[in-house]
Amino acid sequence: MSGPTHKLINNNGTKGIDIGDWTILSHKTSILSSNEIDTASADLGIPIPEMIFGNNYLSIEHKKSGFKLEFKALPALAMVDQSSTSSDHIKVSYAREWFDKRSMANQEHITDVVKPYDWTYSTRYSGSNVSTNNALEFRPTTEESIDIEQLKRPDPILFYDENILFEDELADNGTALLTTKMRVMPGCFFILLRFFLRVDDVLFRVYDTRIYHRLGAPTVIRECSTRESSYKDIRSRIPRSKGDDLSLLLDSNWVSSQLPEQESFVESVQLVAI
Amino acid sequence: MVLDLDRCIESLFKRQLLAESVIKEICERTKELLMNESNVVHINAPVTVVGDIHGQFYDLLEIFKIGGYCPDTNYLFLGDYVDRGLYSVETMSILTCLKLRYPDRVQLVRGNHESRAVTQTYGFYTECMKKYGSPQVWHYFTDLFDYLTLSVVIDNMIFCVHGGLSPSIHTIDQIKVMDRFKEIPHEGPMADLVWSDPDPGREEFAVSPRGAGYTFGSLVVEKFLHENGMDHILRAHQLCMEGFQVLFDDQLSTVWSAPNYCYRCGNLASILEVGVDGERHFNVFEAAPENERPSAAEVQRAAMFANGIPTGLFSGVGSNGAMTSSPAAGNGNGNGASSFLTTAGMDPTQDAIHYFL
Repeated sequence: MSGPTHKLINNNGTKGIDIGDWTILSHKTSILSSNEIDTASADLGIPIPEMIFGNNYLSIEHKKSGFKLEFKALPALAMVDQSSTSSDHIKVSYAREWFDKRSMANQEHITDVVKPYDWTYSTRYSGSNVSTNNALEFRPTTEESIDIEQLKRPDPILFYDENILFEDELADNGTALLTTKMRVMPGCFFILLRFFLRVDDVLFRVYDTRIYHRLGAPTVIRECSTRESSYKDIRSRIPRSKGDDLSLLLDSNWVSSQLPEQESFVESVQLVAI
Repeated sequence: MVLDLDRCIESLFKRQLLAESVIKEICERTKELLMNESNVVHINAPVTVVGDIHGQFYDLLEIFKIGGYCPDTNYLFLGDYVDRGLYSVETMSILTCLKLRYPDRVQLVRGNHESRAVTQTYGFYTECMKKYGSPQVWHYFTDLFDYLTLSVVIDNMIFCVHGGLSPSIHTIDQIKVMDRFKEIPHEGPMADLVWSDPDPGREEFAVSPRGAGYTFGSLVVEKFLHENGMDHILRAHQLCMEGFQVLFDDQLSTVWSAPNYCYRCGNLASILEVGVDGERHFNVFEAAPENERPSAAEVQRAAMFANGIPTGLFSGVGSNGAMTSSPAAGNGNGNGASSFLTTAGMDPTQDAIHYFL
């Protein structure tokens, strides 16, 4: 299959590909400096994840229509819940024990809690639509869906990239991780933006955003899905041959494959030329 | 058993693992040594203080290169020797040998990762299994962890601990009477010393929104220093992009010694040199060159251990399996094929990974 012509890009921390009418870029650099972190934290109103790749991004741009979608850490963090009950939904596994023992040790007078926020950094961020044309919006669709059969075919990969937007170790109580994976084939491109959460001894949660475009087609499809289950449930699925080795629990792909899907919806955007 | 510590240390510097029986012996002997140490060890300057290492053995070698080798330089390590990096076994082995060989010149403080529960999840257990074929070595080391001291005081002026302060602890004497010879509990003063974090935006203690863990503020720091006649708190535990951070009007410092943390953060690291007159100097350094350009053999090894260990050693693997080079840590190395993102277990061909769905 000979698709549209393409050209690889590799320039100072930015890699990517020009293919057909698309420019796809992935930029990687170090985590934010202390100053950048202070600014971001002040803007967002929440503590920033420890490993904040605030300047990393993945972007896709369709020159003809002006459609542009970016994946970045700070807009994703802007969607983290900061309501008054946001830190109450999930607590570490030993929170109850901690609370009880504190009462016994007369430390109850320390009631001051850091301003509430969802400390798991759960975010349903599905990308930043920075298209120049406001009409280029994602709208729900029931007719279109991602062509999984095409994606299963071992078509040559012209460009492959993995990028990390943020990671936090939840004070050694687990992991919150936001990453992107992308692959470009002669006939289509495919992106997976994944928020992966593990709270040790409590739960696993995955928010996935998949972006699919068949090159030359008039639309881009976006599918968002949620998976979640208890830590105990997933741990029980580790093959017995592994014994006490819990390393599979650190593999987000294995965990995601074990998590039941809870909800998903599909949207698409029409790439209309201005 | 006749133990030639110098020979062990020499082997470890060459990254050769010690035999399981040797690990057992050095752990036994080191426990006997540590048993007699107080929960608060008093030492004198000059001393070089090291923060979190997390199994980044090549960077530990860098630390010895820039800070000086034992016993010429006195060292105080603030914990978190294992987990996350690829060489926790080598790191812990060499530090144990150095402590045993030069007990008065090397101090090892316990970090929150020196715990059975944490090391089962964050890599040390898995690494021991892979390198020794059984969990025995993990048992020897985790038993040893129970003996590590909780704090050190330099020249009666600088209080050094892995995490931070506790609402249950107002004086050094209160630390001295604790029973530390056990697994780190989930709560209480021993947990607080290895887990708590400073919060420069606050004055008092506050509870973390996670439901467990304290942060402490400026008045807490002032009061503790005043009460105990000291002028500085030195701790580790938190990642610093610049390798260190100074807070509360120079009353508290965080020292972080794992550069390019997890092989992808691109951060600097530092060691703190405390002079005889109390002067404190942060010696800042980048990741060791070996961290950026592992040999083909290392890549092979890393690929074997990649499953389940949350690190990314190399920046990218082409579809034909060839490794692409990564930029120097100084100008950013935020990429890294994190093992989270691999599907196959021990499959050496990378192609399958690329066809994600």
